[in-house]
Amino acid sequence: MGYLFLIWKGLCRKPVRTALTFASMTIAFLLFGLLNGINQGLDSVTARFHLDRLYVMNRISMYHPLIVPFAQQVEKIPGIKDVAYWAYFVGYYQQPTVQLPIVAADVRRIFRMYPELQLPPAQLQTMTRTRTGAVISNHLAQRFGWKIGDRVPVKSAIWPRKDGEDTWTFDIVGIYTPSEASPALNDLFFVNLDYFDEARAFGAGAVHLIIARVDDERRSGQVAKAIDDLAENSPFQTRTRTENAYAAVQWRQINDLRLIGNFITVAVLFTLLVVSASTMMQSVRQRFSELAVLMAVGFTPARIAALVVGEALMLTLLAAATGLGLAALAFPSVAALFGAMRMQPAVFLAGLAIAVVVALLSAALPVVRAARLSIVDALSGR
Amino acid sequence: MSAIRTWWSATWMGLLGLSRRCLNAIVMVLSIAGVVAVFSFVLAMNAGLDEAMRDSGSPDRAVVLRAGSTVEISSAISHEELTLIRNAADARKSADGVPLITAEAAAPLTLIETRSGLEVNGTLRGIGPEALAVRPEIHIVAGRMFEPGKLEIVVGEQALRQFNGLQLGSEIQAYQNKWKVVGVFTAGGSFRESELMADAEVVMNISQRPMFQNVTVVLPNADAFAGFKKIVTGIPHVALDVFPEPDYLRRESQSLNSLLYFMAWVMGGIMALGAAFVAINAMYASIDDRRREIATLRALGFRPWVVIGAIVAEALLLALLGGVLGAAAAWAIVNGHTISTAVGGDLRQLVFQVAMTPKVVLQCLAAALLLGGMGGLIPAVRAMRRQVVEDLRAV
Repeated sequence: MGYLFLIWKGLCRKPVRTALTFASMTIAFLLFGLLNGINQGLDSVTARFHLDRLYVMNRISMYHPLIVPFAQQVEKIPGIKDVAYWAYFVGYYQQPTVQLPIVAADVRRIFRMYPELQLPPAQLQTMTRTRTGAVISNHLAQRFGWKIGDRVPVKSAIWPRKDGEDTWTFDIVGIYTPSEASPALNDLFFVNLDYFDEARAFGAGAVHLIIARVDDERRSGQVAKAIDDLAENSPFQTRTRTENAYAAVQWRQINDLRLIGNFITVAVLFTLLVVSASTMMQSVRQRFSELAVLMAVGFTPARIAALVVGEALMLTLLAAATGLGLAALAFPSVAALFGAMRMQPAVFLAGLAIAVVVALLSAALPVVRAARLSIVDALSGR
Repeated sequence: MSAIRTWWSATWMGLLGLSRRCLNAIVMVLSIAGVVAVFSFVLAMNAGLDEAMRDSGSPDRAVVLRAGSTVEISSAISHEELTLIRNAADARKSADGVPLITAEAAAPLTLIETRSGLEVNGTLRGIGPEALAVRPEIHIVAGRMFEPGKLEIVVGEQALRQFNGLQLGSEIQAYQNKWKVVGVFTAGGSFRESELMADAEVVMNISQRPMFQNVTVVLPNADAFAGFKKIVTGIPHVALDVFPEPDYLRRESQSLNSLLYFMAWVMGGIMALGAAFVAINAMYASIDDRRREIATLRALGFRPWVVIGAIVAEALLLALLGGVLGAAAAWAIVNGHTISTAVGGDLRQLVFQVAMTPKVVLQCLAAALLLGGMGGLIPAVRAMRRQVVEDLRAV
């Protein structure tokens, strides 16, 4: 009992005050957990980039086409193990504001290229057999309430069909789940490139992106150059990037907004420290006479200090545990904005470390003042 | 009258004692300053985006796109369709009697951002001869306008600042051709300043895509829009969408909006809740320190609402101080800062400035006062329920 009991009693002395301090600290840790969770989540994705994947695009821009025969040539370059390619367009569902990222691809190659996109083999089989099939992400399925067997009409202004229609009807035959965060791959609607090529009014054989896997990622620079050299004398020139360079462009917006996140984190941590320090100061100041009694019955200044530090620690650690717990609960819905990512354990460790540091800093000044206390003065209420 | 006077003297007395409770006051001021700083940063970004995208449109200008085009680049309007629109539209006429209609061909091109060294999606916008009459906000500020039919470009002021190799007189390589930079333009702070412009016919030739992406028509007035839309969408065998320019631009900046919205309202909201707790806590603590003082006031016959009023007034004053401090901090740190990021479904690079407009400042101060008012009122009302006699004896 002893110490913990005294600490607990100290906190319960002004329950409203303690509750308010606890609430504001909890919110500070909640914010820290969310923002730091997003930051670390993005970092962990960046760290896991598959550097053996190269992204080949038309040098002019990502909207200019490449052609499938070029992909076949790329596949023959020594050092390249596998190749996938896709044509990309934004279609819309029911009304122009509901946009769907449609990717027409050889799906077998795609799911071989991206093992992190998990699709049951049976569904992949069905997809290759169903000309009008579509494989969609679990996010899209959730968002629109689509399930396997649904028929989805998608309109496209740029890609009319040969029969003059601008509505493409696809049958959902598979739903994939990304096992790691990847904003570029989270929400895609895959359809068969063969079918798309056959049915589109023009542009058959044009693709926007070729993804190549190299044998040895240390040689990816050379291989990338070999690909660009190969295109130098063809009707179009290419630009080949590694996965992180490619993602840097795709994630531009999110990365830029991290700046605001860091700004908020600093403001929050600073306020946390000020709140905690002022609470401890007041709490100790109002208890000078009590502390004097404790000292009179034999508490050394060191034990008094331990009492104050213990009180601060208990408050910040409880708030940190609650705030970070809430952050972990809220994280999945916040992270949905940025793609599938998990709360990293490092976030919790950082949060707890901050709690300890804040407690120590905010207890420092009151401890000094308590140690200088004149017992006689404090006992007489001066 | 005397009620106000007693309230004022109670408030004044409270303020006089503020120096003894300065730690609590500082905590409250700082926590509100923190929230206001973040709030104003996000709102100022939003305001900057407004200036660059949403407000740069004029409601009397209508933008025509291919029906269902989700991004500008996916729209396509042929010369024949342009003629149909030209014939059908009742556009305003310039002083020389030329109808104010212009068609643009947007060609994407890869540019290098100077600061980050990243490759970004720039836009080379081909414009027709009427473009300057349709958009009087565009001014050449250095060099000259491109000559029609030549491989010449003019660059926006922001593009010049943010991207590599666009200096006046330099040559850039795009679409297997060398283009000469002959001028620099401004466009009233709008997104166009992040772009490059050249002759529409040249752009369509070189990019081998003989299609315009949009047609802009100046209407006699904003009310004429509904009629114009009916006419254009009624042209047989052609599927076109018509938007008032502001709506069109709002749509183009949607994806950035949702992230900003998240930052402002979800993160800002949680922060504001935290700050409310801090404010209540600080005022509670300060009342706690003043128990004897408040009890004395009440024993002397000050009415409870006068005392509450005095406490709330003090809280509002501190909150206002915090608000001003926060807004000033945000102003000093980020006002005029340039944000360069990707917007729209096609991730085009947009450069805009963080703008601390008066509206942003007022919104932030209002939020600060709300927090302060709440922070004062709740503990003050609570304090009134206590026993005067007991508090008079408090230490």
